[in-house]
Amino acid sequence: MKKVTVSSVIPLEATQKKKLSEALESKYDKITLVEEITPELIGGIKVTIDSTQIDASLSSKLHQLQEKVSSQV
Amino acid sequence: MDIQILQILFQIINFGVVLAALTFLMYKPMIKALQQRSKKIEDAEKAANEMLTEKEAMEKTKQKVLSDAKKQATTIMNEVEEKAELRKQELMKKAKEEVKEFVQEEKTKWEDEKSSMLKILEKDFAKAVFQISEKVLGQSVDQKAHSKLIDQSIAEVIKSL
Repeated sequence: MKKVTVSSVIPLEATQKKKLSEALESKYDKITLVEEITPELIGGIKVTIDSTQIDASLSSKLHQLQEKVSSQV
Repeated sequence: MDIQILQILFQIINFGVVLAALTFLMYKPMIKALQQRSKKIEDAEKAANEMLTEKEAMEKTKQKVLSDAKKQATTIMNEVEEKAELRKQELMKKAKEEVKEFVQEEKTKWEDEKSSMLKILEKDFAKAVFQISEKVLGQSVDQKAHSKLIDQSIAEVIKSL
């Protein structure tokens, strides 16, 4: 059973948890979803599976945008 | 009164003797002295004329030398002036080039500095904008908007799996 950590600014709704769990289980079979409240993310979620991170947070997007703008200056 | 032939003859001979004596003792030396004097005067005149001619020749030579010297001085002065003018032009040109080069270098330096300052400013500005955005978004996003953002993130995560 894989431990998947989901970080977000507010707790996920049941439907959201279900949708995410189903998608993850289709790839990793059985998983345990652990929720974590991280206000620094500003919005959206960040999923951590072992050493893999899928960062779909607003903070990450803003930082990516900032990097892009800075590299073009 | 009787004519005394002997007396007349004696007188004639006496006169002849006196004339001959005068001729040899007085007339000839006087003529000779006069001739010598004339010759001396002629020689002096000739010498004077020669000296005059020589003086004129020297005067001409002096004039010629002076004229040549003046011409030479004028030529030298002209050459010096030309050289000085050329040197002046060269120095002016060099100075202008140096000034132009200096101005160009300073301009390039200034442009580079301006460019790097602008880049730093733009980066700082972008950073500040994003920091402000983060704070504003962190404070202004409500529950509903958070839920919507989570939905979008879940879709993104599913897509990346």
